[in-house]
Amino acid sequence: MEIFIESEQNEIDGLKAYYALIEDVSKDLNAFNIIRSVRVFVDLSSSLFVLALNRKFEVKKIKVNEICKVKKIKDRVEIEILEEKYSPELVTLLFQEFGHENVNQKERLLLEITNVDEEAIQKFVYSSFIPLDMQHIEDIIVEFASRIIPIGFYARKRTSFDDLDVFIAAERTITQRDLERTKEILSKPPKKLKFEENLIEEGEFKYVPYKDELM
Amino acid sequence: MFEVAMFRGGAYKHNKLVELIEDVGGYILESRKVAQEINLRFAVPFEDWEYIQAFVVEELDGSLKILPLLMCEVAVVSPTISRHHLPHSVCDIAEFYRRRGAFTNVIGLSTGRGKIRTGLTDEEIKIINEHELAVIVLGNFRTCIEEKVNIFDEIRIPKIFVGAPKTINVDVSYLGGIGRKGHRFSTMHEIQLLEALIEKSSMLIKELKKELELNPPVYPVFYVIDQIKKNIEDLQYTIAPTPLVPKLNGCRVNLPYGHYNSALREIEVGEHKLKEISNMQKSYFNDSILIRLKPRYLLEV
Repeated sequence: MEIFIESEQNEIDGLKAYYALIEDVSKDLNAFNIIRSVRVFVDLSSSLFVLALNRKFEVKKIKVNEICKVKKIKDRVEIEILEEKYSPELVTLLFQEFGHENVNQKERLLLEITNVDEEAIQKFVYSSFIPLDMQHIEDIIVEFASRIIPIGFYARKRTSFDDLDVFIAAERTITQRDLERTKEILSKPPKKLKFEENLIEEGEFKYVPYKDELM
Repeated sequence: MFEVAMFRGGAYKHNKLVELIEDVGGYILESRKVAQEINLRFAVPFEDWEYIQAFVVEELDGSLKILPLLMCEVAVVSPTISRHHLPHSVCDIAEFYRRRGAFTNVIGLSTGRGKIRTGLTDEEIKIINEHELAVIVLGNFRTCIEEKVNIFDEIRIPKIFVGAPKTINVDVSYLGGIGRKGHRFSTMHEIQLLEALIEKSSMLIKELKKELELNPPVYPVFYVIDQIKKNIEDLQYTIAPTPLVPKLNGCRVNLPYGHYNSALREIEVGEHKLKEISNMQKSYFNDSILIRLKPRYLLEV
């Protein structure tokens, strides 16, 4: 998991402490499997706190050859659907992909396709889904944010920019200007902090910052 | 004044040490015997400390450790009691103080969060002022800490502020490197920070003790505590973990004020009654009884 922390006032000691805190919270919640990167921006003079998370999901794909028997007979391809539950959706998808004139449903679970390569049918993706429980992911993300955002920043707003989950917190009412400012901050590339290596050299932290092996 | 220390070692022949302490005019504060080991907390006059050291070295197997904070009740103040501030680092600091002999109370403020709306209530100020020392654990950013320090101006007791920045631009007793944490104080660097905090506290307490030496009470605190223990039998049966908390110039009795106030006032301490040599008041903390011994010159007047 990558962690980017920026501050308007550039208080290095405070940022160091926050970096360690984010690492600890990630370990506690086992958020490394869910969050790809964390970006924090703090402006202490206007009491604005922005937390942007980039989620990490593994998308699993189901292909036709996993749920059907595919056979080539002369100039046509025969598909036998193994389970009936896939039938209605698969037939519709094949109609859309290869055209009504090429797909013929001979029986309830038997299809005949003409003018299409066998390999193309076998690799055709039936569906893609996220294997983890969505509610579980949501719970972890909300818990992660609530532990990191300072408790004094009681006004909070959740929104999203591009592929980022964004939490905006302030010690006063959140205004339209804050939202625009957040957009502006997130549109710039994040700055990589350089203090991590120095910390290890100085011996302030005896442990090595966590590096996600999966990435 | 007294030197307060802890003896830890074999129970065999420890009675000789107890006798020696009593002979030199010292007091046994706490004695815990677990199997063949004994944990003895005691106070002896400064001038006799060397005899005790020599006796332990020559006669007994064990260790002696000075507890500079034993007579102190320390308030560890946290901005809130939420997950953001507890259990780390507030509880770790309190635990470290307890290991050095202090009695600690963790106090979570009701309106301590944030920078703009932060504040202290009257009751919180009164509770904190009942202690000998306040350790105020603040957050990670210098700007916030510098603004927040001002709200603690009404606290009269010595106070140490703790936060993540190494230094702040306000003239207060401050220790950096300890801010919001998500893990225990476990690395060598972190333990050193806690040691530094204890050292700073010991210095402040030493100064307090020097001030008190100028106007000492008629009887030493330990003697008064001894008399209270002898006269109030219910102290043995109370479920409070520390029924009697020794303080620099008095003690806290963890019994309800309404029931035990009159009995305590009539206890005879030497030639006086306790009500004559002390100010007794209901504590704002847990309905306990707070006894502060009057200085000698006030009685002579």
